[in-house]
Amino acid sequence: MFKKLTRIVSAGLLAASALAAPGAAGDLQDILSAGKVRIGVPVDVAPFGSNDENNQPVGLDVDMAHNIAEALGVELELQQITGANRIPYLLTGKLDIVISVMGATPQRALQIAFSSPYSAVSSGVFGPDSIPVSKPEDLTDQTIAVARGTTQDLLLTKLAPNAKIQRYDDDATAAAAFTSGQAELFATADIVAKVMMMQDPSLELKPKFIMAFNPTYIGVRQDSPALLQWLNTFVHVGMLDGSLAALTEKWLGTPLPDLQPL
Amino acid sequence: MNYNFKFSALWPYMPEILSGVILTLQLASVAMLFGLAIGLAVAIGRVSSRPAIRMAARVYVEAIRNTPLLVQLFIVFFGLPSLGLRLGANTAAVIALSINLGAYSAEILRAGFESVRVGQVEAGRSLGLTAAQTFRHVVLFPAIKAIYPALASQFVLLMLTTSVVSSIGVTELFGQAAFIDSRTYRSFEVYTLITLSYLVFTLGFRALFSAIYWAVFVRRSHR
Repeated sequence: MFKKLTRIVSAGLLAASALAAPGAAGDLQDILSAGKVRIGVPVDVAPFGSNDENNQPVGLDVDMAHNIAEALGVELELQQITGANRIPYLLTGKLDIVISVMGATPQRALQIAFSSPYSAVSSGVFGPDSIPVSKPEDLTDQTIAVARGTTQDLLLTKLAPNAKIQRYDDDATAAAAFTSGQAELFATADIVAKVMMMQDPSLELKPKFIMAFNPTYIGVRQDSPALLQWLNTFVHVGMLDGSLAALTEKWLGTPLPDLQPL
Repeated sequence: MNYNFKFSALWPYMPEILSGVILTLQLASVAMLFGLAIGLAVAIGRVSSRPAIRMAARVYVEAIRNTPLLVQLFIVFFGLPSLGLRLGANTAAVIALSINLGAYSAEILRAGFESVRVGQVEAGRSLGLTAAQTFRHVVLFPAIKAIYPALASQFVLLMLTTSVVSSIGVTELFGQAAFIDSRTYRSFEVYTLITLSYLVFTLGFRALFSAIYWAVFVRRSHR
């Protein structure tokens, strides 16, 4: 039974890839002549890409997709993807471009090509304006909640070894310590802080200082060099005119750091 | 199946382990005292002649014994601040542990009180003892003697249960172990070490309780 199922599924996949093959040509000229660009954005990573109350995709990566389609002068075909299937979608030619909070690694670069970074996820210490902290040295007797053993914990321990760090089992418990007032500050990823504020607007999780950045990159197939070059130009211009910085500020609430072009 | 134990990786963290040991013993001792006091009061309430007091004591015992300690802990630490009562992690831990132990020790003590036959109490009263004197000499003393082993076990259990409070950020022994684990990735070594520590504490507390039993009940009855 299982064998049969596997055979049917693999036959289906084979047929799908055969069908997809003609459309796989996704370089710049093909997009322009087709009059539409197919872009993948995250479905479950607020504030980069998620669904709003009307079930419409919203987020930083969604805005990027719209801006790219507009600059190309073509129609946008948005596809919502997850972290697990974003590279397969691109490699099988179902998408031309993936904008999905993707970090660049040499391993991933063996499969797909990355543009210059367009935004960054950051780890930092967050809290209300009333607490006068803007750098690690300012931390004296303020209590900071953090999930034990995470990147944020290791960074904070290194930057402020004498700070009053309260370590909890996970991000959710550390968040509870902040929301219940048991901790005055919360060390976490900026997107976690942002989502918490979106869910409860009474929370004040402003960035006090940023400890580390993880740039995010646009992914394309390796056989579309012209598209990659165009995207790099698009990102470069966006960096110069401040539109990318505004986009990061709008969705993440943290300033965009100086990102090295790829 | 060949794991290279490397206990030397834990050496730099000896101050953390030591502070964890001290905090665990402090938490356990303080919670035992408060828990016993609460338990005694509630057990007396359980056998009170006034129905309202009996009912209140019963509600407390049932509410605490039928809910998880972790939930009680989270209510005290994360819940009470919503009512404007913000307690530090250590204070919250002592309160939750004491309230928890109070309910269990109340039931144990009640069993002790009920083991004293009515005839004994009547005999005490007819000898001219006041109600308080009768309670102290005829009921309480024999009752505690009868349930002493159960009470001692409950106390040891409480000491082991203190490991739960690391989840609200208390840096007792288990909390320190989790911290060291997150820094050294030597999970096996660090948890082996604290397992042995808890074992030593258990044996120590049992020896202490035996000594108290001997001093209070055995020596006294030989006088």
